[in-house]
Amino acid sequence: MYILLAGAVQAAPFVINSAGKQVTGSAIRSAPDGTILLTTLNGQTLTFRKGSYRQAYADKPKEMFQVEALVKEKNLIAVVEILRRVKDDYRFLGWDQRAGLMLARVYLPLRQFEESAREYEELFSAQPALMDNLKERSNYMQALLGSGRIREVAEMVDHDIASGSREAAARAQVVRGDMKAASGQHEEALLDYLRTAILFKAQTAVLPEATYKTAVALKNLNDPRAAEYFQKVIEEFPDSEYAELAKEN
Amino acid sequence: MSRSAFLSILIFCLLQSAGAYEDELKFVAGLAEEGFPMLAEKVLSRTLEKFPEAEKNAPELRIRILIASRKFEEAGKSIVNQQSSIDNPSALWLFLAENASGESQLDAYQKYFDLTAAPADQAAFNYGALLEERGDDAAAKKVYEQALKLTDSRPVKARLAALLAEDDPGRALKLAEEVQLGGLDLWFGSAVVTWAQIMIGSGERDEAQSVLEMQLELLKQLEQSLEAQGRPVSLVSPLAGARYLLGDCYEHSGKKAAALTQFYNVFAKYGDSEWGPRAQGKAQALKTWFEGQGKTVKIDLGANLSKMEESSFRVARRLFFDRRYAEAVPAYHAALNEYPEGAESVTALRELCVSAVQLGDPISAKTVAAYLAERFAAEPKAGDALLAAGKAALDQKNEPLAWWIYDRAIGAFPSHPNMPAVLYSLSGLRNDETYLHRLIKAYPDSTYRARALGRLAWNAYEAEDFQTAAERFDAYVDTEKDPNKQTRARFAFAECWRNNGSAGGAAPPVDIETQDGASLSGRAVSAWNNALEQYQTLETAMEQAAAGFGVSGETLEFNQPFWEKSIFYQAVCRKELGQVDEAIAACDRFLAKFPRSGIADQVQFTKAKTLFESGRFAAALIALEGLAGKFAEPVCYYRGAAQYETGAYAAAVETLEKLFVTWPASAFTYEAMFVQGRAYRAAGQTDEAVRVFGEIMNFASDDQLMHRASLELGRAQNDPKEKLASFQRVALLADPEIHADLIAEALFESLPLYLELDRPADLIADAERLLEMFPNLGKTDEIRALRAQAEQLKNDLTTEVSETQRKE
Repeated sequence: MYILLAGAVQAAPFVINSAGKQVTGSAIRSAPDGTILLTTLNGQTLTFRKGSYRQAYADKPKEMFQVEALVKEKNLIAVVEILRRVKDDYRFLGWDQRAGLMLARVYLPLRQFEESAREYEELFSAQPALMDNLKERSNYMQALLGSGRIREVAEMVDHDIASGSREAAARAQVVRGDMKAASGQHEEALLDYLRTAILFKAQTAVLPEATYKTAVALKNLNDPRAAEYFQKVIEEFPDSEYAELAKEN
Repeated sequence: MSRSAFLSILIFCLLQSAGAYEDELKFVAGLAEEGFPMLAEKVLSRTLEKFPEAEKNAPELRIRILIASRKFEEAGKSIVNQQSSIDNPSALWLFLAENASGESQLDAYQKYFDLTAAPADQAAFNYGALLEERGDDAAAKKVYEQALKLTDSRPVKARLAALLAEDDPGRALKLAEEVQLGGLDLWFGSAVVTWAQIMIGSGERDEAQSVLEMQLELLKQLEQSLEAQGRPVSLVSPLAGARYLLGDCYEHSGKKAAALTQFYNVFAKYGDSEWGPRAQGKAQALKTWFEGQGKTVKIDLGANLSKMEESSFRVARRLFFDRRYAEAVPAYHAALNEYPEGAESVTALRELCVSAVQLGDPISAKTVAAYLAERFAAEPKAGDALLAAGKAALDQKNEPLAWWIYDRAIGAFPSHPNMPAVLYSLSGLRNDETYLHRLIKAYPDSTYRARALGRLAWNAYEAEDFQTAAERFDAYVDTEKDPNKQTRARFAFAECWRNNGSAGGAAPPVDIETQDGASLSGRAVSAWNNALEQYQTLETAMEQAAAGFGVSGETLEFNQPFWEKSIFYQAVCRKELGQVDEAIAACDRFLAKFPRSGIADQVQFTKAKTLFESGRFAAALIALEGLAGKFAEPVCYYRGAAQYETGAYAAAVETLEKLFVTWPASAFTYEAMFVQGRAYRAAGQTDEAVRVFGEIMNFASDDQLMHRASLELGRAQNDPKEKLASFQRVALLADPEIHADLIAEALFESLPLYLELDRPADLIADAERLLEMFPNLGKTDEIRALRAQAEQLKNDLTTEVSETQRKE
């Protein structure tokens, strides 16, 4: 049978078979139909059809080192190009999903929101648990927002606010506040920011942002309490990026 | 009977009377004290009715009733205002202080102490404790000191000792020791704590620790005894202070782990005591210290967790109930951030929201309300919380905020049992029917559905939108279970149709509306028939109620006017439908059933008018007999008119003359003059007839009447030229669209006059006009005959003229 090989590496790859046993090899290749060919240490080639193994893993591709360097240089366009290639070349070998996740993230600063959302959706389909990762969930919402898929974001946000974890609720409240502020609903936005700032103090990751945005919303509404909240940001979160912004007000 | 025997009986009666009301008044006071203010009020009223002389004792009792009704502010004002008529105001102040809370309580105690030289021990203790709770230790000390001048109260001594521990440790120690000698009770434990505190203050920690460790077991037993008595041990147990001070001793001797255990125990078990917050602070500091040392502090709070949570909220709650809202808010924030979604959270959020409302901070109130509505939508208590906050906003007169909060409650808690009532109330408060429509749609089984349907119907009825009202009453009337309300609704429903009938049938029933092509008169007929049906249903219901077993007199009294009107308006509907006999029968049924009714004259008059309008003038005359009062004026007119119609012309003239004299500004004047003119003419008094019609022409402003009068004038006049002029005034000036019949009569009656006046051309012209405009007049042959005569005359005249010209 002719198999179009999608990728090959020289490191110490392995396959975990359906019984949970790890089989280490000297080389590994994958085919588009999910078949894995593992060359064992004694030179024998083992074929694992899709469904007959739990996981196949190739060692870190050399391209990923390139990616790290390019990220440092902030050359995100080149990063995207390499990650796309890795994603294709290492299908079923673990690195495709890693590359996909990195792509989903990198597309955001490049404002390629639709691409980011698509990557996330592929990932969520393969790994539903990733949807519960607050960071990735928040990035996905950002991608959806950028793509103009407001209704979907609103549904996710409302769900998180009503029944997500407190961390998720706090983030969602800030996202919803942003959406409302963007549509000129300053008071409604303030209610979300203020709620987070006064009743979600344990959610420290979003607290500086919520407090700062509370101050801004109060200022937009000419509420004298704005100064109090700017001061709070400066005093309580001096190391956050919002402290600097607060000082400007 | 001897004089002395009479006096004895009188004295006995007086004594009996005084004794009787004294007992009653004691009973009133007892009822108020036991918390039955309404009953107390009733007994007092009854007593005062029976014994007016008891009024002198009433002011004090009324104040006691106010206090029992929890109208504390009003009670306080009454004591001040009626001080001169009250024997013992200090007792009232004390009663108020023992029942009130917050500022009213404090004020009442203050007044009591101002007026009392020898205050009760318990009052001194309570007042002092209240002052301590408010942080006014100096005033508390003063109260305790004042009390101790007259008493040896151990509770007062124990509290004073605690307060003096820092400032006057010597005296405090003495007082604490005195209390300890008095017995093994709560005050003993309190004195032990104060004693230990003083020892620690003087640097004798080892001795304090030793005594505390020794007394710990005793204090535990004491706590168990307090618990068995149902006392709030977390608040009053001396173990709280003892453990805290023991923790302090351990901490100073470097036994930090043991200290931490004590502090956490105090915080967890006695969080609401005065030691709780201090213990929390100490425990937190020690925990941080341990963690700074790289150690992990694991404290299994177990059963104490909920108590700790409760304690965290208690401080805020106390401030809230003392109405110190500005202080309560940060306390709630702190507690809610510690226990954001615990058992106490919803209640705390409710109080936080109400605090924000009370502070006039709508943004914060909305923030909390929205949070409750979204995050706690599964908890019915959160619905209660929003409703309470909405009510608070309403009480604060902040209606926009109230509506905002109520709308959140409606959206988030549709299953809340009070939601139908809320929707119903909001519809009234906001004058917005949307809430009622929502109620009807979403809560079909609610008892408020009928009320909502009713309000919708009545709204439309009061707005005189009878078409909508009829549709709404149709949906409502049979759902109403209250018989009186149903009666009122049924009557209004019938009234809607009656109004629709009067308006020309603006509200067709559905079956006619769906069949396009129903004429306006058809609609009116439907409306009158619907009205008739509802009045009939109402009459049947009233009849059944009257014949029913055990129907109350009140119900019958309520029903009576509806019963009467249901029959009367059936007559009106029948009359409008042209069913004269049935209309008369309804009037007769009414008059037979309710001869003494307040509307009997109106019914009698309606009957007479119906007979008159249907041309039954003789019967009308009989029906008008005996009618006077407010109907005298129209009766006079109709009698005159009926007399004319029955040929009694002289009587008619006389009757109508009476109308002019008795009611010179009567609305019937010109109609009556018209009838009188006709009567004069019929009686051959043409000069009088001409005079009367002339007056109508001169003074009346009603076009139709003027045209009719002009026509009659022409008929009464003798000179053909004048007659013709009167007829032509109508023919030329009347509006053909409105007064076509009058024009036809005028034209027709002009024709012979043209002949008489040798004006055949004019006759021919008017005859043509008549035939063209009124082909169905029914006088075509006569017109044609007259036209033929005119043509003949015209020819004759033409020939005559030609002959004359030829001769000339």
